[in-house]
Amino acid sequence: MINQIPPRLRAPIRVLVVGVVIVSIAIAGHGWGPPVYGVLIPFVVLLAAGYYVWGGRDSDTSAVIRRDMDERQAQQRLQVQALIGKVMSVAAAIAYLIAVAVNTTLWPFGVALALPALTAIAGSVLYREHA
Amino acid sequence: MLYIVRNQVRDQRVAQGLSQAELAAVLAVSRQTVISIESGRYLPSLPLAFRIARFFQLPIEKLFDPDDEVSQR
Repeated sequence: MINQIPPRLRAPIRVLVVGVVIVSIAIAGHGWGPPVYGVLIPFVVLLAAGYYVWGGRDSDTSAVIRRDMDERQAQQRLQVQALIGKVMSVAAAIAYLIAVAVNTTLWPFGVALALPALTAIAGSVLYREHA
Repeated sequence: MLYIVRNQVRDQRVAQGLSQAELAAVLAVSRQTVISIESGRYLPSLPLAFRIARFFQLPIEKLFDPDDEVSQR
């Protein structure tokens, strides 16, 4: 179904769908108020509009937004994702150390710390070469 | 290790009177990728290198010259 949507509209539609879910949860939890109509809804609409405008440009980032990448752009996207993974892993480790230092509940931070290691194992199993 | 393999893509494209956008459309890649290949910043995959060679009707080793390979640390 997503393939029938014009590439430029895919990212804005994803943002709007996720945004509607988040706004619905916010309304269910806190009711209709300024944080919802003053912050959340404008943020979602602006983000979707931004993706639409950005997605129409002739650049590598726009191709990634449209999910309309060639091999070089796909490689760049992988490099960006790898960087995000590294930063998040370091952030999880720092958050765990802070949680230990302030003596708070450790398990959520432990899960965040264990996930990169487990994902690395899962990735090496999934993508190994069968020689 | 960074490899720079010199290529004749720009020369061949200019000889055929094609713009970077036109070559990109023929090869089903972006204009930016053609620019990167021509400048040697990006080494195309083997399938793409063969597509380029077939398009210009040249042997792949004429288009991408491994003898000009430069490696840097």
